[in-house]
Amino acid sequence: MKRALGYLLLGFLISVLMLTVMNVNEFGEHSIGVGEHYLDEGLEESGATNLVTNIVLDYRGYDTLGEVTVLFTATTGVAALFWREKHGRKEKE
Amino acid sequence: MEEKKKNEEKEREEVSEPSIIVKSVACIVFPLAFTYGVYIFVHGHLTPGGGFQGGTIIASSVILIYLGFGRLNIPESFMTALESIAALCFIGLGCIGILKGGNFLWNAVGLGEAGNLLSAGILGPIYVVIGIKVGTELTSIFNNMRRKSYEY
Repeated sequence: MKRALGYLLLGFLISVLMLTVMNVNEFGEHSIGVGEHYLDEGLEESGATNLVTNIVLDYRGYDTLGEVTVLFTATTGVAALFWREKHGRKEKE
Repeated sequence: MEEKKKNEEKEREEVSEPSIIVKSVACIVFPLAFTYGVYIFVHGHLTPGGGFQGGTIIASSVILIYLGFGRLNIPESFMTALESIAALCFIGLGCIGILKGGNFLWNAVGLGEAGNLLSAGILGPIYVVIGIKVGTELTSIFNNMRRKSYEY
């Protein structure tokens, strides 16, 4: 019974993987269309000649805001770790 | 007990006194590196680079000063204030899009001619703000760790 279930699961997995492989794009074709849009329209839509800036700040501005927040959190964490020693809370002697 | 600690601290400071080579090289390299960092983030929308890279270069130039002289004559509260103001400026620049009737962080200001320094709407100012923020933040991380090592 267990063995039959295992074979069934195996067959299901193999069929799913085969279906995925059959639907993969041809070699050299872009799998995501948005990259071509960035390359073709980025300069007109955002106006910056550095395409990375177009993507990082214009198309994905929220991501950059989050990145800055992550850095701020890291700074706060380091400050919280090292700040305590100076301002009280010393060991009782 | 405390005297012993003080003596140890003195010894450590004497040992860690940087050589004249480090000091003079820091004097020469600091302005160049600082200016280069500013250039990187001001031209973030024209040439490779940007706020994060420029800010890191600025922070490394300030760390060079710390290595050579052990202190900076800028108060820490000023650095913290600069960092917070930069963060608020980022959000304020994002709100321009809302005021113009679009989304947050929408590039609403006129794009201008591609390739000019004053082009690409709010992207250039945002990168300047990010550069200031990253520079001060990394400097304060280093400063916190350095102070810790001095205390022990």
